[in-house]
Amino acid sequence: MFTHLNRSIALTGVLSPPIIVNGNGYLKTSSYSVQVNQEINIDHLYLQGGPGKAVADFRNKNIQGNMSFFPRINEFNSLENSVIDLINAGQYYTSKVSLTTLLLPYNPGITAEGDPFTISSSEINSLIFDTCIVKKITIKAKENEEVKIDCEIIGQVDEPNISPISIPNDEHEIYRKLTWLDCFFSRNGSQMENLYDVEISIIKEMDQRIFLFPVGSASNDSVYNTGVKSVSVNFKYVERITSVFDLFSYSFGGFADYINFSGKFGPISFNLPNVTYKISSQNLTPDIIERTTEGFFKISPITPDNQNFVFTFN
Amino acid sequence: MPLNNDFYGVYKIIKVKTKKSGDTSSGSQHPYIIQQFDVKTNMETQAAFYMQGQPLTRVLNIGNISETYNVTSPLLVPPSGQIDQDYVQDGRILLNDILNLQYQGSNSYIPNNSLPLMTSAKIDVTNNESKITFTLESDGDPNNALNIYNFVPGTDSNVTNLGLDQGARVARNYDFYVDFGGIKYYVENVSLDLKLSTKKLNFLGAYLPEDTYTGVPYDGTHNGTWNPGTDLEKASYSGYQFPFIAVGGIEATATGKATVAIHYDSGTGTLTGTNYVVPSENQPAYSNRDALLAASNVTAQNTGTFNSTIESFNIYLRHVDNTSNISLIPAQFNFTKGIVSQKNYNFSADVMTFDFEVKAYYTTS
Repeated sequence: MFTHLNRSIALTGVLSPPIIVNGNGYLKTSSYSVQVNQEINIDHLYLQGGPGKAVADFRNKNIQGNMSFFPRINEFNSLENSVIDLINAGQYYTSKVSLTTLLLPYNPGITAEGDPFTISSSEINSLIFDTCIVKKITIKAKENEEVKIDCEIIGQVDEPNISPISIPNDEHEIYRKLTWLDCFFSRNGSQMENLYDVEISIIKEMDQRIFLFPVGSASNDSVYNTGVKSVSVNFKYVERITSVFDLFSYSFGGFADYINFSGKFGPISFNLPNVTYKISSQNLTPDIIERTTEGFFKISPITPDNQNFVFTFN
Repeated sequence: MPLNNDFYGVYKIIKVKTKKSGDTSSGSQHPYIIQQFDVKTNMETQAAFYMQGQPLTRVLNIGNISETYNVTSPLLVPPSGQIDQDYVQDGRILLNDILNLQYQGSNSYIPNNSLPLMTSAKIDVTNNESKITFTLESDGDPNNALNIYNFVPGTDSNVTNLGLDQGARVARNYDFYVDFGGIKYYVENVSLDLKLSTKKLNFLGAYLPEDTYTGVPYDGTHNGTWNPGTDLEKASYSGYQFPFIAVGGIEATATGKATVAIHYDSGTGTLTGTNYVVPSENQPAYSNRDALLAASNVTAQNTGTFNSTIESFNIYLRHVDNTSNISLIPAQFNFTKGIVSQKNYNFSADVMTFDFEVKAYYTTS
């Protein structure tokens, strides 16, 4: 019995190509899992002559996953275009992005009727997920840490790419990550000095319907309809309590009009002029007493029609 | 404790009495993939009380027999590479074979005199799994020479005859095409109900019976089939509990749910609908019949009119060869036309839907 020892180079994420957003901007992610999602199981049993699970079920496929990254700025205080595109797709409910990974392909055919492994160039070239909706985007900042953005993605592929893709030119700029020191938050015009943890999320309630096919059309096992049912903006911040006078910033819950809860994550600004507050949560412990306050941006049904209704960029 | 798998149906194959090509008109038993098979045999029995001197039951009124089978069989697709769409003996094949036994041929409505009789079939096609649920009836005679069903073990040949030796997959939304009364867009699910009316008749015994019986009588001399050409004089079946079952009219109805899309045309400022809804801001109700017929997107059958140009009544299974489609409507029935008899709109903040009912009819042109 022989044991081979040889050197090999495995592809690590550091060496792999970065994600391309909208075909023209690189995104350096810290984690990425957006890819084809399809449930395939062998759960069905019948009066069939034996216990072997012989009947497979190929359900519909879509694009699904999460990604996280640290937004970065160059010397001119500008964000990467890919980050701006994703934040805008997160806040504008009719926007979509395309994501190209160079490592995760897509099969445009019916999964059950094709070979699991293919040398078809059209399938190897299908590296672009062309209709991705940012279902949830969360920008979070915490003391002594970098600003982080998490995205949940759901989508479909409408036009599988069948040609080799063009790779955008690499950038030669140097960037630095945004940190807590790039952030500033205020309420009612006053700086929130006791704040040390902030999260702003834009959440879309999504729906992907499955239909039977009309006579005369070509069928496919992909979802071909993705819709947005609702949009909401949630926030959460955690403050340290430093004096009894901090009782005045304890939230009893309710509407707060003209409160202008606003802030900056470096060049990313937000302003929530009217909010609906939940009751604050505050545990009394021997350690530093902290208060968590959550709430929602108080909006009208057509507020999300405005493209930059939450985040703007300086 | 020893292992005992005899309790489990998964080890069994059910053979049902149907008719395939090559069988005689009385059919034979063939294996099918069954999800659920319920047999209900009922003999009407009631206690009868008289002025009898005692309260305990002394007289039983024993009536006729009914035997009903409720069968559920899935709609499956052969595995990739198997281009024989009929390889897997699923609900579609069972439906066709039962009707082959019941009627003398495609587009022939002359019934064979063979049991069992299919009295209803419901084809459920959804965006999840799809199936066909049958109701079969027989006369309950325990001496039928060929039983309606039988169990066989899962041997190599039996599993091959079932069509599962190479595996299969569940038919999904992308395997079906629909067009009912013109309703074919955004259909989420559809049920096709086939109802065959039947009537049970019992007769007094004819004198003298041709055969003398020492026990429960035989089912006549032809395995439950009464041949009018040769059995005219025979008293087969008459005078016993097992009914004659007559076959009547056939009705087909498609019901289902579709999603409604309403688009606001910013150019004209009006709402236009797809999938047969036109809520117009300016014309919520049409003032006359001509306006109703001329309204765009309202191609479903409108109340008060009979729109004979809407002819479609089809549901197809996509063939694995990707070049043809197979109608799920049995070949024995020639329903190709339908009218929309009911539409219920449901509007809410959630998805707007439309429940429809389409009745089929048959014409010679």
